[in-house]
Amino acid sequence: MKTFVTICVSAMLTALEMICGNMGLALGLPVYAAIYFGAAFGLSYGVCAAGIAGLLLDVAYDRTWLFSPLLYVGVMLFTCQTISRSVRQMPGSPLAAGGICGALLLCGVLARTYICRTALPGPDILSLAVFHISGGSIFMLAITAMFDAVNFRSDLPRFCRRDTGRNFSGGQLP
Amino acid sequence: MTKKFPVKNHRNPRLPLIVALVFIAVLTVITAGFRVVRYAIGHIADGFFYPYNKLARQSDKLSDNSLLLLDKNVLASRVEKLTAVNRELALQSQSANALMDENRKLRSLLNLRGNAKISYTTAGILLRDPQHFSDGFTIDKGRRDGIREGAAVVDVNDNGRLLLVGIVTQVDSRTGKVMTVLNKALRISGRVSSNKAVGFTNTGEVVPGRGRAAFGMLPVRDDYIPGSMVTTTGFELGVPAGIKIGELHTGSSRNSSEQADFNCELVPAVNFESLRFVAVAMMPVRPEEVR
Repeated sequence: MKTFVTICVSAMLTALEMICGNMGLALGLPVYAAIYFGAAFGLSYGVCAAGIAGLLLDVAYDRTWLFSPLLYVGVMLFTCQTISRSVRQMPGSPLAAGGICGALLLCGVLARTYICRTALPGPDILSLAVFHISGGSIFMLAITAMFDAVNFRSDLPRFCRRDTGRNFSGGQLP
Repeated sequence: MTKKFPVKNHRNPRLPLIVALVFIAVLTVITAGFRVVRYAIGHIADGFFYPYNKLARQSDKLSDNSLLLLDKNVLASRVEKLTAVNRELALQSQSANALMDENRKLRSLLNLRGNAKISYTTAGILLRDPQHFSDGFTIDKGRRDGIREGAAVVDVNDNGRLLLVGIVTQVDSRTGKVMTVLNKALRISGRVSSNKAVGFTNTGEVVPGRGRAAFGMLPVRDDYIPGSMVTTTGFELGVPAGIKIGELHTGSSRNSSEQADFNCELVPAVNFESLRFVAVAMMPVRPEEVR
């Protein structure tokens, strides 16, 4: 069930990313879902979702070097590690995750634009930065609320659960 | 008798500051978001209203209502002028027809093949990479529709003039990939209209991100005028001659031990941001290719 949900949601967001791409915007929508699945189901689900979505996009766009899978997996892992110790029951956690993810994605896009010497995919850097950070936070909060409600009824792990304390070897305390 | 209680002020003294900061943050988010959303909505609206916009641009010319304000005598003089122009054009057309007939006769006498006639088919843009938005795209026509690699992809402006968008570089059965003139990998020969010099696109240095292409390998001369039109030469197999590529912007000569040539920046004639539909040249199949 977890695999099915991960594949379906990632595929839908990859298609949505392509529609946004036709409008000239590189938003990295599948990464937000990958962060959710990485935090809720386990890192392996997130890594697979981010990697496959990035790979699909690069193949569809016929890009010469596979930058998107590396960027997506890197952003997903960094964000998951950043929020792993936070109290995920609070709404601030998805907001922070979305903001971090948006900022990192924009950095990746800007790096690619600089390396490939292409035009900026958007109006200007400041607007894109604010849009990515604020939009990412709101989008992450929305998908967290939506999938947490679905997962609660489907008896699947959720993002907003309170972490228990950890012992020195990294395991959770009873 | 009413008893007066002292009213306690529970308001946080920092509240106005917090409200002001929140207001500024919200305003910044809305403004930046609006700029990005407007950028995206502009692309959607361009595609959605494309036929209407094209028609509106044409009808603006047809319905020039300012003529109603003119005097009868002025109108009469304009009609006379236009009649004279029409007469001249008719004479030119007649002489051109005579030349065409003569050309046909001479070709038949010399057993020369006629010029290959190139037809065009329209195609919609299917997919665009946001990070290479102006470098290339995928069209919804492919090998099944008669599209071949190397075919010219063009757009038409309001005056009916063909504008070069790019070249088909890869063809599948139902889709084709197009490399635009802004792609650094595309080399096409172009002729400067002012002095007939021939150069090649993307063979020099250009400032990235400004929507201009490099146009170099030109002979070193001093009569390159900014704004001069650059058209295709017809040297490439699938690219007919006379299609407008763009206009010269700035130029500088480059001298090295190996070569001395002139480089310009070229402003493409096509607006790649609002491009939704293109026409693709259908090259005639040569007999040796059929065999």
